[in-house]
Amino acid sequence: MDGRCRVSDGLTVGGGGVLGIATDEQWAAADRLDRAAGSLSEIVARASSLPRPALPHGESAYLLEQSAESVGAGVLSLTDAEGRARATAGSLRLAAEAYGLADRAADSLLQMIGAQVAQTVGRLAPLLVFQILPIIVTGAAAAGILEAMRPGTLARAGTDAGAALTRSGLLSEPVVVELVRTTAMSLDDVGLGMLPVGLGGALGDQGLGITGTATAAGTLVAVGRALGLFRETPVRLVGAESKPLERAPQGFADRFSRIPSGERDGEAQVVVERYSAPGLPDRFEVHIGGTVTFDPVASDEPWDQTSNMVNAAGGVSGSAAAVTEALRAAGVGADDQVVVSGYSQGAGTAAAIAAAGDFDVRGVVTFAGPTGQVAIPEHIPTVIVEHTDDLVPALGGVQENAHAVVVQRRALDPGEAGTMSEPVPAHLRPAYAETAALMDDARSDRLREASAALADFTTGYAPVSTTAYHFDRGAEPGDPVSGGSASRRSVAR
Amino acid sequence: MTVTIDDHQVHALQARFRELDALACRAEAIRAAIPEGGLHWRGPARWAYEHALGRLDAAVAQASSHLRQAAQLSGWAVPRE
Repeated sequence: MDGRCRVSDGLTVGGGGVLGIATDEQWAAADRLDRAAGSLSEIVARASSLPRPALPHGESAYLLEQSAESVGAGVLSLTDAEGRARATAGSLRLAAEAYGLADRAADSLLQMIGAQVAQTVGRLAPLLVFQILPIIVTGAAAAGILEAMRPGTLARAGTDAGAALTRSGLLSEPVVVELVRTTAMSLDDVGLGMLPVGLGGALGDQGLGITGTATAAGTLVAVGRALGLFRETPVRLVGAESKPLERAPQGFADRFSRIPSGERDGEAQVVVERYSAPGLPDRFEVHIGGTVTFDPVASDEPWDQTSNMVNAAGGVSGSAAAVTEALRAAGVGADDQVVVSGYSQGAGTAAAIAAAGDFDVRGVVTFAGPTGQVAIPEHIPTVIVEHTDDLVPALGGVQENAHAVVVQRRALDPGEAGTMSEPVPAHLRPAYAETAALMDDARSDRLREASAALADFTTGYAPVSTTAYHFDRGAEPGDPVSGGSASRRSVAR
Repeated sequence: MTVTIDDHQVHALQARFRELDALACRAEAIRAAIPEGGLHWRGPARWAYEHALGRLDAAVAQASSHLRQAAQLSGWAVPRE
């Protein structure tokens, strides 16, 4: 645990069908107290039913009588202790539930306020366009002229502003992250605000829920496409390498380490592991990597901003199509059981695969993914890991998968982000690797049970192979997805 | 007045001693499993939680002590050679 003993080390665990939100430490304490109460109850039962030999009057009989009185006093103390243990455990859970309720209420309030503000903006949009647009256009024109006269000035200003934002660490402030989450939930309301009063509210997240983050993302994708951005293409399998698999994931940290990083050019984006047992269908673990490029113009890389946006809009992104293709290439059928893990975009894709229902998904583990509004079926055991100072999960909106065990942690100490060069350091893989390791050390039953359920998936199955797949967007728009041109290549793990 | 008890009764007393001693040990082990506080709480909530744990520990300690005493008394009830 060296180097981990910081303010940011506390894991917060929620969900799992329970409204309560508390630190892993708090859940663990409640679990320990319940176990202690159970053990005390067993001792009470045993001491109360202890056989007492029948003795004739005398010293032995007197001592035995005294012993029986001590047992009676002990039973009273044990019963008192059992009640105290259960009451204390109950209080801890009550505190967690009160916090969970307050958290939900605050979320709902923020969403309502955000929706109202956004709808007002939407209603005022025509006015803004006619009154403010000329000013913006004039300003932009003036800036353009200045830019033409002094090349690099505005670009430098933009770069400087970005650097200042990074130095400020503002993007890693949990308050800002929550603001982004609320904004993500409210974007659709801007459009709804243009509808007749009342209709917008009825259609939005706070009403019938017909519109939401997907609507807003879909609108952005549509607008972006008109400008040449976010244009989805078919994907093509260009590389696959199989090697023997030594063992199944041993906990969350090991699982996270199996998710391909995709950091190097040509590196695999998807890894499929095969497990077998005599007389039973094979089982599969799938690990999906994060965004490789944030370029909004689709080029070769399917793990790009286009896929991010199409995922958010609820469409079939290049990355999602690639994962489906990788599964098919691995021989995974609709009835084969699969556990899906992913990081960042891979997390969103993992949730989307589970939601689509094309495969028999038996578990989902997501790290740093915008998964909040992706409806993962309730029967699928799900663990969602997100940092409270990471913007990316917040872009997915409020987490609506109430059945999922949601693990949260503030990855950075206050002020630490400002000392780092990355704009959102809490989103980086090393930060999530550290959280995964903390999850393995966690003591609460909830996390341990989630970990055990994932381990059970491959219990009794022998590890067979791991295959790393690399895809590109090499096909022209309209071409079918191809899986036939796989070349052998090395993939670092 | 000397009262004799038979072997069966002696064995029953010895078994009672062992059983009560084991229960006292189990109760003592439970004390070690009780959380020691340390939640990141402050103020009255922290005080109330730690106070509750202290009372719980005291109750279990008392129970353990009673059981230990009951075991000893059962042991002493076994006639000396």
